[in-house]
Amino acid sequence: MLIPAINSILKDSKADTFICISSFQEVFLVYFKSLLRYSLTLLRTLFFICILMLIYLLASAVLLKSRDVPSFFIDSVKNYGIVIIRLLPFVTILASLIYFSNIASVTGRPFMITMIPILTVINTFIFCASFFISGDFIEFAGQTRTYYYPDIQTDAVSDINGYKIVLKSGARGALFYNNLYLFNNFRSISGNITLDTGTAVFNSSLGPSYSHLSLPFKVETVNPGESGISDYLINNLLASSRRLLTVFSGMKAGSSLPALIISILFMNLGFFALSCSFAVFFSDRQTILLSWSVILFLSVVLFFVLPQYFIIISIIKSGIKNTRFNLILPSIFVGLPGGLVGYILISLRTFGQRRKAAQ
Amino acid sequence: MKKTGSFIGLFLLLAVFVLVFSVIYYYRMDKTISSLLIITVSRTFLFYIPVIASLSILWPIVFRSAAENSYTGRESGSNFNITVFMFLIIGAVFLYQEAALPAIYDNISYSNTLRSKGITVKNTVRDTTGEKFTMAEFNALGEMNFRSNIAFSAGTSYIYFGKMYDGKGSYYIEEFRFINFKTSGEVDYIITSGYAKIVNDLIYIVNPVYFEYSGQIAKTEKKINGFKSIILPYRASGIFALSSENVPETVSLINILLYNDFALSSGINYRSLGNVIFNRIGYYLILVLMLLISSTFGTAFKNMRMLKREYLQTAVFYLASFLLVSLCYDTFNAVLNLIYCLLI
Repeated sequence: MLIPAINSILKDSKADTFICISSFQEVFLVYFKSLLRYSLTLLRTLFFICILMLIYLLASAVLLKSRDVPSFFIDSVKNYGIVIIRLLPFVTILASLIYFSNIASVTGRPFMITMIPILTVINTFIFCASFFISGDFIEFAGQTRTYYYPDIQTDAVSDINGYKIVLKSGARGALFYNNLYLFNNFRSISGNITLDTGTAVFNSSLGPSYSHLSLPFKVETVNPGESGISDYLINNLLASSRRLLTVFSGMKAGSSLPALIISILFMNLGFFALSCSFAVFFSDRQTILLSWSVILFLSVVLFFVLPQYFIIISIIKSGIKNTRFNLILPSIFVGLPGGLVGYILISLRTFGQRRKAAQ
Repeated sequence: MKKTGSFIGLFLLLAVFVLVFSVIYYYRMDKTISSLLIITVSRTFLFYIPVIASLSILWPIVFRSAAENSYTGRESGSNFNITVFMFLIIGAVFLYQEAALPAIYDNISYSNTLRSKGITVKNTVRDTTGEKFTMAEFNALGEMNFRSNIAFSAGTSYIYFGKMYDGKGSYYIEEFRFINFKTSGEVDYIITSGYAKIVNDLIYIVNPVYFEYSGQIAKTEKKINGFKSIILPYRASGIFALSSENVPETVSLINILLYNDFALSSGINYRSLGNVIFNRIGYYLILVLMLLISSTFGTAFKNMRMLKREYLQTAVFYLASFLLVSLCYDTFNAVLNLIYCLLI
């Protein structure tokens, strides 16, 4: 893709070779800088997704603690890391959309069209990294109720399901429950309290009252509550990432590694050309919050569409008998038209811009 | 002050939406309009206030109005508007949650008990007899608001009220028990009675019986005819207000601040109350944080021009900002939940 660009520069500039070489260096520098900028965008998007998914880390930590897992925090961090790795395709989609919406207003059509394959190569490596790292994560459960077994303090009034207990030294004390009872033989073993009452104090008399009381003592924490929207969003996002992995494992079956990577490259070429051309339409620096929200919405939709897009190739593959080309040919067949449509959309947008400028 | 008006207007609009939807939701769940529906709807509404308040601060900031377009001076006025709105919201929420809602809940449960007893007339007469009372006053206990099963400590002694009735000015007690322990942990003496009345700082015990212990056996028994008064170390209104600590609806930070001497030294293990107060203070912190975040975010990335026929972008922005603000609120709540789980 670089050679035509250099050739065009050579044709246009009626100068000697010295300047031509410097132009080549300039072109190289431009692409190098834009690659650097894209990787910065990628890192920023990754940071944004890490912050958005922080709720998964917190909720899974509480869930594992309520299940009495000893190293609950390390386990939840591991789960969080796997979730982030599974969501790397989403990060790449969002980052390329943001990158294209940023460059759309400052660069022309040739640069954008040459940038798409370069981005596709980087994104394909990230996709493969996400797919080949194994590991599963626990479901997002929202807020979980947790219990604990508190100690009965001496000299304090402890309320256990309406029974008010005052424990004194020597396993003796007083129990208030509609009446005053004096008890002895107090025991507290793993959330269960037992005591034997001896005397009851009535309104105007004392009387013997021999009974054995056994109370389960478990305190449930009061949750601050949740809106239910994050539950829906994150579960759908994680379900889509799981579906993507399943589709990929279907594609991987019976095909070699280079063929797999080449076919993903072609599929991504079509996919990213299409999605980046959408982003070009919604780029506006003056209403930046609106264009960002459209891009976020678009990337979520595209992430839900991505498994379906991969399924098409798997279905075509299952009908082809040639084991060497059964994955590459369908991906070229689906990916190149997608890239063509993206090219047409970008041309349409830039054509409109030029007309506006002429007017 | 034009922006403050639009903040408040949008907030009221969203509040009506939330109220209508929650009423429909709880009505469909219950199928009957329960008397506690107003409490449930209020709690749902209060829970969603941080979301709708931040949305109502974010949306007017982001969209540029025609008046703002022609204005060319410094834009420091909007910061003042945001601050005014934040203080208004926080003040209103605090008053509603800490003063109005416990009173409404108490009133509803009181009228429910009266209805279940078949009493239609509320006892609105204030207590006038004071310490010169007769036993005939205790016949009217059924009409009074009450709390049951109250026990608290006063130094080495412990006091128990089976039922405590609010007589508007003084308090009546059924099933009075008083037990004092020696420093070694043995029972020192017990005072018991069927009825008592609290006037100011004194408990007037009706016909008390006094048992003195020595070596775990009651040695002497002394019956006193008439009244015997002992000093109550706490304010009776505080005991009444903080007695139903297991119901989160009745918990009020104002009560805890007013009667902090009782809360501190009564020796009651306020486990669920502590949790509720932790969540309550976290709620106010989250409210302030959400308002700050949404206002800074909106001011930093507000539109530089007026919109023209960008309906899709506007609709998607409304949706996406709603989802992100809810996600942010849920994340803060998850932080709160995790902190409490790590503490216990």
